[in-house]
Amino acid sequence: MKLTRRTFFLGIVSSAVFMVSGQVLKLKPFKPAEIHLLGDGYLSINGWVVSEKELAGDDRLA
Amino acid sequence: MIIDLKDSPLDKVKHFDVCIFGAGPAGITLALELAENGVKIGLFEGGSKNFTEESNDIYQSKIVGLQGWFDIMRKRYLGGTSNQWLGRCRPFEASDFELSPLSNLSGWPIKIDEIESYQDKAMEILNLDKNVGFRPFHKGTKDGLFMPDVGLFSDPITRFGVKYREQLIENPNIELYLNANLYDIELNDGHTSVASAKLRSYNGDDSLVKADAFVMAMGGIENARVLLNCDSQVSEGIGNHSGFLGRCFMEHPNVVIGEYLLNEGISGEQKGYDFEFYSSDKLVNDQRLSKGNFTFEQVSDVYSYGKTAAIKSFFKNLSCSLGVDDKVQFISSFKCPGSGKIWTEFEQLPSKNSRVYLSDEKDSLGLRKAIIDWNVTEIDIDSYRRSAIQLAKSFSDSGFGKIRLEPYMLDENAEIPINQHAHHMGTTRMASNESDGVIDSNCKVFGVDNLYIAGSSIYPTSGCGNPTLPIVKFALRLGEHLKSKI
Repeated sequence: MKLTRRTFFLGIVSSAVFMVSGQVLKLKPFKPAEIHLLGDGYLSINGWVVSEKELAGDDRLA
Repeated sequence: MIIDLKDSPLDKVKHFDVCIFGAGPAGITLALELAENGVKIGLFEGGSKNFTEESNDIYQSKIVGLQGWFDIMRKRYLGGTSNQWLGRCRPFEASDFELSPLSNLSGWPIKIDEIESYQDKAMEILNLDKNVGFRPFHKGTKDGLFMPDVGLFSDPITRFGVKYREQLIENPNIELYLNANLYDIELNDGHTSVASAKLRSYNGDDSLVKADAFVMAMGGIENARVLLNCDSQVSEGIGNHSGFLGRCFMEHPNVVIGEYLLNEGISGEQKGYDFEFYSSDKLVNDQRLSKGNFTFEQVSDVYSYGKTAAIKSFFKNLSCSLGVDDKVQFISSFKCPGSGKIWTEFEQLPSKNSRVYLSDEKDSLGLRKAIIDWNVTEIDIDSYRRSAIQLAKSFSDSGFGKIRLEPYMLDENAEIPINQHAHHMGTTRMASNESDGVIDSNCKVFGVDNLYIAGSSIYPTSGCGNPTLPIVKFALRLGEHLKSKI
């Protein structure tokens, strides 16, 4: 492809867009999980009800 | 014999042994039961043989509480709402007749023994297969807190107006009247018994009928509405001396509590069925909860739609391959494959604030329309939340799988969306004495010697099973009582 002023300009702009969007994605904070303690050794993580035992690895499902 | 009052009123006062108003499951069951024993019956249906707007418009009401589609969920023609029900039946349990520790109002004045003897006949009426019976498809949770449910479907679904139309017409002891709306009840001078009942057709013609006994079997909302309208001699409405008429209106609140993933813990027989749990008496008593019936939808779909891989991956990651922090992140970002909602049929505690009362607006017959203020209490809401959380724990602990609860089930400040099941109960509640209800243990209105009520409006508490099977049993029981009186 022939390098013209137009393609050179487009290349600069698209590179800038990639760089900026990459930074935005990096800066987007990780949404923390919503955790509720439910008693009896259970908690919910974003609504999923699991036991502390399972989280610790001492789990019959293993 | 079948007579249509649409075109012309009765030319003279008719006299029967028993007049029954309403030809739905309760009314038709009672009419046939009595007629078999030689009792002369006048059966009066407000609608026609088939659906008409003219008749169903009578059900139009104003909703001021929770939305329940009360107008469209009722059908007002021969067969009543059995013309559109889904056919699910479940018997009451012995504990349904015990008063909930959460209730501050009275419960049933009778025990389950009073209706158990009618089980076989009721199953026959409702096309319930006795060979299948009410049997569980799984063992419940390991901790014994949730039992398998034992619902059974009417098959083919009993549409009372279809199944029993010919029997009603051919029975020499039954006169079936269509387009015959109960408009007013006239009491004797002392207001101690019904002297006559006035019927009104859609063109305004009135007819008068007399009987030794009168039975209202018009539905869970309509029984109360019509009695409240009967205020020419008793200003508060007939049967309303205690103030309970129309009050304690109950539904079975349907709350979608969340969704689920299955592990491997379900027997092959369960495939193809909804997976259902029922609160055990141990749960209800130990944790002070109202009852709940939990239906896990589309179990067969979860097995057959290729979602098992996602489920296995979920459990594999949860169980062994990640550290605690990674597990939390994994669970928090996990997307359920998309099926398997859990919906419910919760018991609702009777409350005087949940009620049916009268509007100033009148229907086409001249009766005041109903205002329906259905609502549940904070105690109910708390009970639904705690039941859902306990179910999620017990389900996981039993190795069935995992439950994701909706945010509103975990946040005490959130509003829980409540739907209905079209089970209308409680507005003419049964009680042991007249200060606590509308009817006595024989379904007779307190203070009125010959006026009875049939249908789910008589339930003082609701349990959380479908009401139709008990409605039929209670109608058979009322039939036996009336046979001894006539």
